[in-house]
Amino acid sequence: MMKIISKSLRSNRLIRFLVVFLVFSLVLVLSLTPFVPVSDLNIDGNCERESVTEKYCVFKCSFFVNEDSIGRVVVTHSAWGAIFDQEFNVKSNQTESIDIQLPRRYYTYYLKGGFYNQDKYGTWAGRLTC
Amino acid sequence: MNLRELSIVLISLLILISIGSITNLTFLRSIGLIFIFFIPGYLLLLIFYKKFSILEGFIYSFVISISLAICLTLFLNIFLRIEFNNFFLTILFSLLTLPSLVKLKKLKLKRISFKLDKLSKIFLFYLALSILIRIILLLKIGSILGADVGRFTTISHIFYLKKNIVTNLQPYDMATGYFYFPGTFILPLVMELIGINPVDSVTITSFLFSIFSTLAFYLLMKRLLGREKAVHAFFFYSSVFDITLNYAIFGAFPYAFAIFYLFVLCLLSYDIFFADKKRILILVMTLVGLFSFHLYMIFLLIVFLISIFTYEFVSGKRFFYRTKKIILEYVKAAIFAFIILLPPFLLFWNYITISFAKENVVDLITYSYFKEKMPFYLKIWNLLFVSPIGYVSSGLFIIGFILLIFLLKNFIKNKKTILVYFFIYLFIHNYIFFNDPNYSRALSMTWPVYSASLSFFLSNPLLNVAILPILYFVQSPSIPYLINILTSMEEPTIVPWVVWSEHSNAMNFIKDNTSLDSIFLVDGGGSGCIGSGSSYGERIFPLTSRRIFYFTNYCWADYNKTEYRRRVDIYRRISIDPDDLRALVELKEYNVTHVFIGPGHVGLDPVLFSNSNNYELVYDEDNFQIFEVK
Repeated sequence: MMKIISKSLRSNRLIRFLVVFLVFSLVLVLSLTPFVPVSDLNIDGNCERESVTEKYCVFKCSFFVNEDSIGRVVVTHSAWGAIFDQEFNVKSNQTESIDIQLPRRYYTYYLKGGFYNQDKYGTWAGRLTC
Repeated sequence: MNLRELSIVLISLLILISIGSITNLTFLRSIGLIFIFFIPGYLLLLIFYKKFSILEGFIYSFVISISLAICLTLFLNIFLRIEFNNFFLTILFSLLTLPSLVKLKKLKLKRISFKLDKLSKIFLFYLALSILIRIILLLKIGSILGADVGRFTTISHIFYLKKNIVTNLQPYDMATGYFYFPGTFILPLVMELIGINPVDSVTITSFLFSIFSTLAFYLLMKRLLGREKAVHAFFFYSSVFDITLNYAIFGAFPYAFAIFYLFVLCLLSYDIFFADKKRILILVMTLVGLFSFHLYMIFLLIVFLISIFTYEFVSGKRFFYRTKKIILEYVKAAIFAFIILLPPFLLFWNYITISFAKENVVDLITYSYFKEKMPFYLKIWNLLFVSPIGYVSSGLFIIGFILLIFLLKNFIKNKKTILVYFFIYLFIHNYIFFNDPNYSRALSMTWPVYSASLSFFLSNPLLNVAILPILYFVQSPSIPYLINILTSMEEPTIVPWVVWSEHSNAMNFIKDNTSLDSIFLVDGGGSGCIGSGSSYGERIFPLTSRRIFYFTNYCWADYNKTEYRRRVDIYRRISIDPDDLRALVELKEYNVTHVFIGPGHVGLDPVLFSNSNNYELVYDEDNFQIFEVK
């Protein structure tokens, strides 16, 4: 008798757990997801080193975005500090190119491309070695 | 100590601080530290609560005192317009003790019992050990620079110089308005008023917060796992997995401090929910503290709350009553906290939405590009076994997780399932926030659970202590390993987290040999959206009051974007060629008088500056170079 009660108690608890777990998980997902911006613009980017001198390198970076947007390209030379920052308009389905001149150094630069319009965000990133 | 003695001590301390404030005697002023960190909170605790343990007394006094100091500073300056001068501290510390003195007659000082059982002795042994290794670490690092230290001490030092809390930081910084959690600059400001430089004050408070957060962790584990397991979990958390210490060392001190408040809120939530304890004053002050440093912890608090709700729903009988009660308690506390925080809200209200501007949101998410592209299995690996600090994995995380899986049956059998529920919900929370550079720091909240898992298997104090030296060689967030990497980091990496005495020598040179209106072009250039760059020079301003030629791309501040880009471009051109005439003319237009380059330079190359006729080397010690612009 005790065994049956204990077993039914356990299964009862399991059902209760599953119910409450589903409810709270759903609450978590629904309430937290809006806080995370999603990159849903399609960005196609490419950077190529065009020339090198003793002092600097010049890169040509091209970006193709599927919607009209504002683009901002930042090159960081440490974890966060920028050494290049440029904003430009990008027309839908057209390639936009920019030249980036950077000093020759012992490390790799990090390029962050952020694009946005009224409704959407998009990102592209790459590494530039000079 | 009886009441009369207590009041004599308090009044004597106030007189000493007053003399210290008026006469600029830092030693006397520094007594004020215990008014910031302990006394007001302890007195209020004595008045409002009859029962609390010694540890609760320490933790809650710390919480209340800091929140009071921050709120009073904001209130006195923003509402009453009292400027930050020598008398400000006297007024502040007098007010900090005032609420207690009103009810002094009713005070009953708690008698402290020193009868210790075996577990208490083990706990005290672990505590002494954790303090000892922290002292070794503190001596090793000297002072923390890190990502957020420079930017927030810059703001606090501007308040200090302008004698007021201001929204326009010019001419010392580019921001004309901003919104950030106020404790991050008010606490260094109060410490600077006492006489401790704001950069060192962050280091001091970081170590205090670290110790108090481990104590709060212990009390929380005591409730969730029982005393015996909690003692050993404390050892692992304080020596190996201390989130507060790790984030503070790497400069993210607002987040680090907020972790402490999160633990206290979990502790309070547990007591209110299960033990029907009345804790409204502490709850309000903890919420004030949480908001003062980093509000993001609210989501983790929700994760903890739904874990205890789940436990009650599955095992208890008073789910609806208890849930309703705690929600009401939080609503009440949040309203009080909001009222207390009205001064900064009113002052910074116009800038509260800056962080949500599209250009700032996109700036932030560009840091997540590679995370977004990560395959699913790698995401799971990162969620469980990779530290969000430095993105390194550790065998200790894997062991902690495996032990947790093995222990599941044990947890369920002994009705200690809250921690398991917490881990499951945390996993969902972390999965959602994985791509977000700020929220994804919550990945480290698995560490407390891993500490608990380890405590079930390793409960021999001597054996545990014997493990510590081994951890020196094991990649992990442990203090021995931190000491190891900081010892071997003679040549600092690109981002300097900590500084050595050599940096202080350079700062002293600047103080003694350059005029107060000097302006320094600094290596590293400026700061990005989520952190400051590798500029040793960034701290020239908070330490010497000399201005720096800098560009700040804060995602929470208003600044002239055209001006910002102009500065970045000058910095880039001068990095390529220090003799670039156009850039040099532009620098002179900004009245730049010096160039500061530290070890591990990134943009400005000291060799190029040495070879130039436009600059004169005036300081060259220990890889720090200062050039004067001719």
